[in-house]
Amino acid sequence: MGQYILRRIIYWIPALLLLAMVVYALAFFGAGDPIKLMFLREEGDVTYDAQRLDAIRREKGLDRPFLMQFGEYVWHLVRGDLGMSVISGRSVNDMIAATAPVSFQIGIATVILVALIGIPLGILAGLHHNQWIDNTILGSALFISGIPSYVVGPMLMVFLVLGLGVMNVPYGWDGLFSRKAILPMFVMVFGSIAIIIRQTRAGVLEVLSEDYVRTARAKGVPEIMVILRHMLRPVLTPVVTVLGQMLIGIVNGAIIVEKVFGIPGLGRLTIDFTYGVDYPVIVAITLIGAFLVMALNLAVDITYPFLDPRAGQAMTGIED
Amino acid sequence: MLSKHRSHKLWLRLMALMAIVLVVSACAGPATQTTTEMEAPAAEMEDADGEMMDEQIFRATIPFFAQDWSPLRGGGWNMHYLAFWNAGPMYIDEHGALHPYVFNEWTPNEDMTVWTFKIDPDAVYSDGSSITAHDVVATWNLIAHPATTHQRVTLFLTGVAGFEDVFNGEAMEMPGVVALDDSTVEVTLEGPDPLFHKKIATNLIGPVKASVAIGEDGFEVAEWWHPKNNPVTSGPFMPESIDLNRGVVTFVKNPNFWLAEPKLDTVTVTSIEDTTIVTTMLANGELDQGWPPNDATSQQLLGSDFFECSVAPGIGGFFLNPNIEPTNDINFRKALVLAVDREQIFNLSSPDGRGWTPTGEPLRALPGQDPDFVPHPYDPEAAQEAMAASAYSDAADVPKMIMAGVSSPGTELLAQYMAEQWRQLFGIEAIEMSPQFDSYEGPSQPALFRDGAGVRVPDSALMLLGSLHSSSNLARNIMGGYADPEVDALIEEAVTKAADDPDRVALSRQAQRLFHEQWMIIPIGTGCGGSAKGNVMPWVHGTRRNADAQFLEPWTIYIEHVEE
Amino acid sequence: MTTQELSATSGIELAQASRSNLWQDALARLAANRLAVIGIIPIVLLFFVALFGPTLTPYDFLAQDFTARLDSPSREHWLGTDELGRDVFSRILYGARTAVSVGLVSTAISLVVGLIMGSLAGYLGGRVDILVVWLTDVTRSMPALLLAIVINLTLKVPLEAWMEQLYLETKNTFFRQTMWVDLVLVFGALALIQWPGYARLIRGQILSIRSRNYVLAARALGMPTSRILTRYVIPNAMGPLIVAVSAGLGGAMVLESAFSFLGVGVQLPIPSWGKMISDGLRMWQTHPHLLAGPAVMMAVITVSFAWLGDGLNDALNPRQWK
Repeated sequence: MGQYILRRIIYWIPALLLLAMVVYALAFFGAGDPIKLMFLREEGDVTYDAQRLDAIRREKGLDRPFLMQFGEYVWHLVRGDLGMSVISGRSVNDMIAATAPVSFQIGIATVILVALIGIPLGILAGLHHNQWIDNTILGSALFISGIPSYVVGPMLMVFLVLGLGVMNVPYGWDGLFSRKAILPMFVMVFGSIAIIIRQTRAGVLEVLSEDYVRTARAKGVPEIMVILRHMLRPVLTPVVTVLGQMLIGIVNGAIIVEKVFGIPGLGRLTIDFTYGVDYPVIVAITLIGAFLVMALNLAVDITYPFLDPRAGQAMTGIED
Repeated sequence: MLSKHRSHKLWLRLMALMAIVLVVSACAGPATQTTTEMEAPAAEMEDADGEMMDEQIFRATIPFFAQDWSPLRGGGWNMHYLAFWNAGPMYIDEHGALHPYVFNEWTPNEDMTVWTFKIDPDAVYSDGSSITAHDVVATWNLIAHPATTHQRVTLFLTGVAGFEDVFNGEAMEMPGVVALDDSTVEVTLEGPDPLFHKKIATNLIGPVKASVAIGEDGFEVAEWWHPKNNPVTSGPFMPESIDLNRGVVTFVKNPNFWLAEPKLDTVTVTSIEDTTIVTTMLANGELDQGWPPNDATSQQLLGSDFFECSVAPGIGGFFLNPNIEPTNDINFRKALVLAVDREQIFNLSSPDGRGWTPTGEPLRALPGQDPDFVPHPYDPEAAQEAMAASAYSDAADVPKMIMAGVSSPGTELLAQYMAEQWRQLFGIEAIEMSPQFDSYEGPSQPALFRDGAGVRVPDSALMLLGSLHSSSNLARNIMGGYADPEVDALIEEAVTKAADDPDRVALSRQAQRLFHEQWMIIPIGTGCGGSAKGNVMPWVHGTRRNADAQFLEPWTIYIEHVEE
Repeated sequence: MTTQELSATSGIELAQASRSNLWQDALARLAANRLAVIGIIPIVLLFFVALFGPTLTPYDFLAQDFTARLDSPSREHWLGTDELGRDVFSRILYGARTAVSVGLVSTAISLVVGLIMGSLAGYLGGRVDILVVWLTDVTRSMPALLLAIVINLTLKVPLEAWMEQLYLETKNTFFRQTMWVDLVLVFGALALIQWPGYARLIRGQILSIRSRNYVLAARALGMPTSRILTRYVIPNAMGPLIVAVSAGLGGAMVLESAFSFLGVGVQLPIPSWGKMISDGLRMWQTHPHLLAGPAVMMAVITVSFAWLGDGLNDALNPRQWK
């Protein structure tokens, strides 16, 4: 097993490098010229011409061929340096170090809240399949997920701040356990909970028809014991996978909530520096995302055989 | 059974790991926040809402996530607040009058090619040291150089001997700027410029302390302006903390500011991109100044006085590209211009009816404004005639037109209005609206480009130099390389005339007339130079803004809540 | 071994015998699901409007009326008018076409790609599996916004220039429909973002199904791979896939609207619900009708798709056929 994990991790290195190159190339060739954009994003009487832009590019070393610039980037990357932002001239390491923890906090807190609220609701809905409880839970969860978070966020905020006057605008970030975090967290949970409810409900429905659950029920085992002993594990296996994906999604791209509420996380970096085509920042954010995705997949693949013994045989099939 | 046991343990470990990560990241979070001190007084303010406070805090906001707070960039949203922390050579007030600042004396030679500037002996940096002529020279050399990426340096220093070489990165120093002694700067120009002293009257080229901001290699020191590096500034305030990740910057009083004691204690500038948040925070008294969209909702919440505007020189509009099809046909341009009703443009831009219908006159609101100027009328019939006279009488022959710079909800409305007029009148449907300001060449070159230009010095010739002359950004980039030799010659002659020479205005008007007859622009806007008092809430007093988009004499701003 | 064979053959027979009834049963189960039935109605309406919308609208969706700017809902304008005096109801109807196109095409593209990649990975295993899993990881770790922006910036200009060229040569107005260029680009971005989800789903299903006893038995009996795939694996993977697709249809529409909010989307003046929502958001405090119309529409449609999907899942879930 240890060897298997090691091998998987070794596979990451070329994957990450190739990914870095693809994204760097996409941004380099496709997304525009950061120096020109620096001037273009400015309204009014900015003055520049091709000669000036060339001169700036030359000064910043951006006129060199792609492979040379990328090679330099990789050289720094290998030594743990994510480079310097083209636009702001700041160290990308510092930017990531300051923003990633915030995104992680939001991601983990959202996932925990979603799990705590969503899984019981999903089980409840599944157990009362097609009854009014099921319809209420599923119906409202899905309706909620149909409203985009960029509508919910500002509307709730205006309602609470100006309508009811119960709070000040929760702009910025004072840490997870502050009052400012309540509204963004609510919007995050609000937007993600339907997935978990549906997943849990579907799992429960599937398990309910399994023989061992029927047998247990027929034997008169108390319902709560049936749920805890026989159903929870098979139901939760895919749910945990989805939660993991959700975590990655939030860490890597809670763009809208971070933008609306001014949360200094990775999402806000993503949007601003993607529009400005700041290669080092874009690549750094992508690499973090890729690392998380790969780590999650590894975790899932390792735990899968324990959680679903049947898939274990398939796993051994992959390994050879 | 065994596997179940193991999986139980695994679960426990996973849960424990998640808990640890949560705790660690929760602890790491507050550690990265350096501005908690700044939040405290803000909270104090809110508690005593409506009362006069001892602590004077001015809470401003920009709609952009500013990462670079160097005073040497000459652009960016944060430059609207440059006057708070950086002193310029001189400044021009909202009425166009020139005031001394770092320089208190300026004298040209006989033929206006050599200017001598004296530095105010009282002028000091925030660390108490004097502002020297050497700092001025070093700063100007630095901002001319491409590595510093100053966005507007040509507006101020073009014409200084040796500027071009530094501007293109081929030299580090301009021989035309010399320090005669510690307090005297001599500038040699390549040609006569009677208004050079007014051109440099801007905060965008204020001197910085060379020993702090400039490294041994002659380039700007990275992040020297950041409070962690103990920067030295010259304005009435100085940066106390800059948190780039949160987008919060705090300035405090500069104890050594030489002109007056600032009335405000603290100035904060927060980056807030979402306009709903800005409007709500202003309405809730959590901000004192901001740039919300001037729409019905904002007016209802903030009061219509918030957007109070004053007439300001400048020209804005959709500029037509005379060098690509189909807008190279003057009749086609004429048809497009005549088909648009400027009254409706104004109604769409100004929901409260404040401002003036745009005329498309570059010299509008300047001393040289032409009393005989007749704006192009709205005349659908004449438009159709012009279209019939053009090479594109059949709408099917019109190549696709790109409207660039359609980047805000307001301009989206205007662009859609114009496109609809052309669809109804001429049957032109192939119009693409692009938010981009990019691509001046190749297949995506825009036929229409939304942009504008203003002028910092209230002078006709300088206005045209910055908007119609072939060297300007408007002509070169926005109008796709517009270069009319006659217009150029008139402007070039006008700028050499003395400020009070009637020829200066006469030549400018002549150039403007030529341009007007070429049907080059569909004017938009309300004629307001933004808000006269800088979009502040009623309890902020003493804010005034000039054509340089700067707050004037920011040391006079104060906060006073009046009970209603 | 013999017992396993026996049970496998009986399983196969059972599956074959009951096939025709299964769909009827599924339909009956679907009809019994109230949410699913409710969900079908708006979806049918949506597709109807998307097909015939332009002929149904009371006004031209582009026509501007400056005497009726920002009117509240009235008898003339059922959902009011926008800032240019255009009829909001007509624009919503026309926007249905955009929404359906975005949802259908991007889901179709990503589903096809996901199906192929997922089945290859799940069934062939080994190197192919590693490669596909790796590709999905790589794709998923790219910021969606970056992909969308890059696609917009790189493909749009040459594509539009080429179409304009074709138009000027042929004078066929089809090439002037820049809306389709935008849609294709938005679809492309959306499909790129979504296919890994489908691929992983299919792969997981296959891995789980092919280790089931009846498939192992069929293999042992020498049934060709293609038949095993079409007979057992794909039908069994159908339920979760249908759920994913129905969610994906709604999800694609929501994602398109998020792109519009972030400034990468369908071009003006073509109506898109996402763009209408993000525009309406600016003025909802004074003119709520601008936001309410498209936002309610969007919510109703995504919910309907999800309800229908869950209903289909319950009805088709092979685990419940017993």
